[in-house]
Amino acid sequence: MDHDLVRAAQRGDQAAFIDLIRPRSDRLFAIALQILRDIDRAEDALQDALVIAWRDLRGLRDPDRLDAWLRRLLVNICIREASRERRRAVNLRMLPVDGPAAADDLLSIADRDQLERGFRRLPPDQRAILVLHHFLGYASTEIAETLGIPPATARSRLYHAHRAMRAALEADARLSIVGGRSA
Amino acid sequence: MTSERDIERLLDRWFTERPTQVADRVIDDVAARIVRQPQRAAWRLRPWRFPSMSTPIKLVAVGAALLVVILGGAVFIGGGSGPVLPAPTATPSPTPVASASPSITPSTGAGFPDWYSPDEPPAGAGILAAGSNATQSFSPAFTFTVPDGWVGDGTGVFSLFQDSPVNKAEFGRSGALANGILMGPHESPYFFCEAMENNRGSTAAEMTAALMATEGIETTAVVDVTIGGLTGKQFDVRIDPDWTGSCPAGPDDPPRDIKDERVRGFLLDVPDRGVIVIFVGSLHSADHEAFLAEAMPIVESFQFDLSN
Repeated sequence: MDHDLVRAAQRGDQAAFIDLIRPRSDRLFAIALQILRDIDRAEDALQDALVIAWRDLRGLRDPDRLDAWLRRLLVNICIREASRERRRAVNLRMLPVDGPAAADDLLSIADRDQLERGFRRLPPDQRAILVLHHFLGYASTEIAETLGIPPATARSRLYHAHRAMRAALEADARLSIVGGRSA
Repeated sequence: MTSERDIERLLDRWFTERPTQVADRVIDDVAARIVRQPQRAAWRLRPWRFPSMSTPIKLVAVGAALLVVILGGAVFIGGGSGPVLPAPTATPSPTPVASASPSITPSTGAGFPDWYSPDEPPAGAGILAAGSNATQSFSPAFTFTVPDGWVGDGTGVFSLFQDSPVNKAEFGRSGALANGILMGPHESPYFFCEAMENNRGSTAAEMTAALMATEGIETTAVVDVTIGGLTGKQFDVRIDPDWTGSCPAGPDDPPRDIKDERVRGFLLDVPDRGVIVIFVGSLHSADHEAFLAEAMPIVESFQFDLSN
């Protein structure tokens, strides 16, 4: 079914393309949201990625690769967008991405806030790697494929992303103590 | 909360997926945007960083440099390129060169060089017989004459290139061809960098003027030309060596030295149907003069049939 839609979309059938992406859009949006932590920017990134996907769809030879290809486009656009965000140093509104904590949720609100602040301090590529690994469950080989880097580099970057996150959380904890907040 | 293992556990929990729903208007906006966004021809695309793709991508035609976008060209010309068939013997040879006994056997997949991987080639594309050949469905249809060792391909545009060591090496390295002839309809082609060129116009003269006005592009004197019964403009074009700007790469674009690329361009008016572009180009300037010597007789052999 998807193969037919991909082929039709590659021949210029716009309706087929929309049929193809609509069922995937929630998942893709979630990825963008996790990296960018801002609903408006995530929506923009998703739209940009999907328009580029339409533009370049004829280059997709294997329809089975559609999902991986879309994720790769999206993650790269999110990294670029996150880089712009850092340069502009804008104050982004906090993201209600996780919604209210579930009853069985083991993370406290304070933990969540601290993770949010720590995550936002990370460089965009480290954010993306953490999302690929912890949100999508990617191993280093899949991360490497998505980001177009060697697997060894992906492993190294994942390690450094964890270290950076740890450092960010520790820095946040120190600030909390100094500022009178309890973490 | 800060041991290495704790961090990983925390992140696993934090990233646990919750239902996330994208607003309908986001996809509605995408639907509206793609109406205005033409698809790129497959040959222009090079997902060469896709490890799952065992073969380097397809038809790429003369490198990213010559990657002229045929934006919406089909609107003007009414069709893309098509299969390549030997010209019928009934077609008189317009030049002595064509006397090289044109084949009459329709090619049904003449095969491609083993180093080259076309993207769903149209029937009949592939290694060409020496002599006179004809496009089957390119609009306007045309005949052309090639010596031994040339290959035709194209989905959306038509390309001719040599089965040569230099093309083989470049294709293996970057998924692009080092030298080739490309042609197709277009309404806004670019020669080196899509982001910096806006060569719009409804006639060959208008597009040429737009190209010459583009900062960073250097052209030779433009001359009037007639190719295969169509009139238009001819020029040589390259990036100004002193240009200090840059061409932003897309997510899939490999790094390349656009200042080393050379193109001889033709913009030809097709009465009542728009403009077609022909590029005779090389990724590396050192190859260009020699390639021009081999390619120009082929371009000069084009004979367009405006009756279809």
